[in-house]
Amino acid sequence: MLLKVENIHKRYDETEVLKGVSLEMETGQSKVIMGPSGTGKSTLLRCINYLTPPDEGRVLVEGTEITSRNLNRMREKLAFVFQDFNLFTHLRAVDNVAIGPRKIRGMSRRAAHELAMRELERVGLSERSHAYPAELSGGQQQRVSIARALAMEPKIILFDEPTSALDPELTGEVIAVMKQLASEGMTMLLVSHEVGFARQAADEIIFMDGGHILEQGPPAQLFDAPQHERTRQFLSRIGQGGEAA
Amino acid sequence: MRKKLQGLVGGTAFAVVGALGLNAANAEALVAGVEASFPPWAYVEDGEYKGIAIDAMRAIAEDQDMEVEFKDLPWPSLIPALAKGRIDLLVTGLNITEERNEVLDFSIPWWENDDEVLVAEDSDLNVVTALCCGATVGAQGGATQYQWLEDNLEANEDVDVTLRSYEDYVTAIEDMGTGRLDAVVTSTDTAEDFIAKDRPVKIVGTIQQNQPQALAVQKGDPNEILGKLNAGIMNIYESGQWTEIVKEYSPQSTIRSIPTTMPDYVDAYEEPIPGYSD
Amino acid sequence: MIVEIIISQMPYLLHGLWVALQLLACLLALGLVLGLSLALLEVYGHWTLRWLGILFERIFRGIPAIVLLLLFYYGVTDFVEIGSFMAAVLALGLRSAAYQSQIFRGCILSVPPGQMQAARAMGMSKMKAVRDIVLPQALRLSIGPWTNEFSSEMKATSLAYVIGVVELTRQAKYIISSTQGNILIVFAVVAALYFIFNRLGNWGLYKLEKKLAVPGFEQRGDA
Repeated sequence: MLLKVENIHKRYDETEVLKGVSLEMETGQSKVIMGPSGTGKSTLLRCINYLTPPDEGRVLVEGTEITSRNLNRMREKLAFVFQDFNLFTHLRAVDNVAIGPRKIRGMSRRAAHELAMRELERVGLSERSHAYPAELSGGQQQRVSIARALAMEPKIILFDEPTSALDPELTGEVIAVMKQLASEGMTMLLVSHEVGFARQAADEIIFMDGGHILEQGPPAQLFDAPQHERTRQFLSRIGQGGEAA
Repeated sequence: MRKKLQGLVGGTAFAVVGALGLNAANAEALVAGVEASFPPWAYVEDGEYKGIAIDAMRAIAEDQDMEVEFKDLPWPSLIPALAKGRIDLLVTGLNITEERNEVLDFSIPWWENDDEVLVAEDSDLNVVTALCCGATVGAQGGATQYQWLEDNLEANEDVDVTLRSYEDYVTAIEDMGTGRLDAVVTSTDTAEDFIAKDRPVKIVGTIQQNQPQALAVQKGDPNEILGKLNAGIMNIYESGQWTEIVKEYSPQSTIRSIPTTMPDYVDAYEEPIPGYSD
Repeated sequence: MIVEIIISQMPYLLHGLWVALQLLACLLALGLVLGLSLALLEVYGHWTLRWLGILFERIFRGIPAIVLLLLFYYGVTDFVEIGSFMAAVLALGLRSAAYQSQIFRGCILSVPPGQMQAARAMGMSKMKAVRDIVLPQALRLSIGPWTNEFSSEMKATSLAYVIGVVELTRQAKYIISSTQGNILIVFAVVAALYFIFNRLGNWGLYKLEKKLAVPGFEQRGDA
C-alpha cells in the first residue's frame, strides 16, 4: 500500500471538520475527492501532508508513519499542488522547478536545471522557462507548479482544487496535463469538481459529506448509480457530466 | 540574485570589522581632553591642534617625558568625561572654581583672566546699559561667565536682563551679529581674539574677576600626573617657552607671573603642592 | 577670502565626511544584522523572544539619539573599554537595529503565507524556507523603506561629535572657531556635502532596487 490514511480527525475551535476519515491508495491509482463545500475535503488533503496536522489518526507512506521528526523527508514523497499555485514570486519558472531538487534533494545547480527543463517540457512550458510567475497566465502558473511537484519525483501528488482559481477557458490546459500524468501512471489524489477528468482519468471517486466519506467507488458507479441521496443531490447541483472540459 | 544580496551583507559586515581597527589608540599615552573650538587656548587649524594650552601642554610633556594625545570633546562633555576617567587630564582655558574643585584637581594656575563685555561694533550700548534694562546677554553655558551673570544679574530682578546660553562663543557672537543678543560676556583673551580676527564687535567694559586658570586632572590624581604638570609648568615658565607660546597666539596679552592667584578653597593647593613645593 | 578658506579647508571637511561615512556604514551594518535577526525572532521565534525583541525596539526607539550616545560613551564604557567611535557605532547601530527590525518584520509579514506553505509542502525545513524563499522576497521589498533609514541615520551621524567623534559637523566647527566666524557659509557647504552624499546613497539604493526587481512583482513606478 503506497498511502494509508487512518481515522483522521481535525477540529477547528468548536467544529469538527474531519470525523474519522480513512482511505488507501495503490501505486498508479488516481482518486478524486468530491463533495459539497465545507465538508473537509481540502482539510483532509492538508492533513495528509501535515500542512494542517491532524488531531487524531495517522498517515503512512510506503508503510512509514509521518511524524514530526521525519516530516520533511516524508513530504518529499507527497508533492502538493495548491489551488492558487503559490509559485515563488521571485524566481523564474525554471528556478521554481529547480529549487526543490537543488535545495532539498541536493542536486547540483546544473543537474537541477536540466531536470527542471525536462519537467517544464512535460507540462508544455519549456518556452516560458525564463518568465517570472507574474508574467504567466493562471493556467501556465498552475502547470509550472505541477512541474515543480514533478521535479521532486514524488510517490504521489496531492492536488487541492487545481483548477478552481482559473478562468474557465484556462482550465483545459491544466486538466490536459493532469490526464497525461494519470495515463503515465502517476499516483494522484485530487480534490476537484472536474467531472470530465474524474470520469476519464480517475480510478475511484470519493464522495465526502459532513466530515465523513459517504461513499466511494469507480466513476461509472458513483456518477451513474450513486447509493446515497446526498450524493445524488450534489451531482445534480454540479450538473453531472456537464462541466467537463 | 541571492548572491548579490549576500554580497551586500558581507560587504557591510566587512566594513564593521574594518572600522573596529580605527579605535586602536595608544594605550600608553595620557589622553588630554580639549574643547577644540576655543581660540586662542585650543582649536584646530588645518587639521592640527593649536593654541596656547595645546602648545604649552606639548612643551610640558616634552619637559616631563610624558606621552600625551589630545581628544576633542564639546565643552559640556569635558568635565564629565574627566570625572568618568574617559580622559586623563583637561587642557584648555579652564577657570578655577569652587564647584569644579569638587570634582577635579587643579594644577598650579598659569593664567588669570577678567571678563569683557562685548557689544556689536555699531551698538550704542555702554557697559551699564548692555547689562541691564531689558538687555539680552549671551555666554557659554557652563562657563564661569555664565555662572557670574546668572548669580549677579539674572537673579536680581531690578537689573532685568535675559540670559542666553551657547555651546560656544562663536555662535554667541554670530547671534549678536543678527541682533538676537545685545551683549556677550567672555574672558579677556577670547574677547581679544575676536577683535584680532576682525569680528564686528567692540569691548565696552571689563568685569574685574582675577579669575585664575589651570590644567586639571581627575579628583585625587589617580594617575599621579599633577606633580609632573606643576613641575612642567614652572619649567616652561622659567625657561621663557611659556612667554613665547603666549605671544605667538595672543600678542596683546600681559604675561603674569606663575603661579597666579591660588584660591584657598582648592584642595590641590594645600602644602605641599606636588611638583611645586614638595 | 571666504572662498579661499573653504577651498583650503575642503580636505578637512572631506575627511570629516569620510569619518561620518565610516560611522554610517558601521552603524547600518550593525543595525542590518541585528535588525534582521530581531525581525526573524519576532516573526518566527518563541513568544518570549518576540517579547524581548519588542522590548528592545521600544527602548531604543524611545530614547533620543543624543542621549543614547552619551549613555554609551559614559555608561557602557564602565564595563568595556571602547572609544568614541565604537560607542557611537553601538549607540546609533542598536537604535538603527530597532528601526530596521520594524522594516524587516513588516516586509517578512507582507510575503504571502502561501510562499512559506509551498516551500514547507515540498519538504523544505523552516530555516531553508525562510532563507531561500521568504527572505529574498522580503529583502527586495525592504530596500524602499530602508532608503529612508539610510537617510535618517546619515543625518544622525552628525550628533556623534558630542562624544568626541570628529566627523563632518565637528570639522566645520573647527573651521568656524579657528576663524572666529563664517558660520553660515561653512554650514552651507557642510549641508551641501550631506545633501550630495544623501542623494548619491538614495540613487544607489534605487538602482539596486530596480536591478533586483522581479518583473510584474511589487514594482515601484512603471510596470
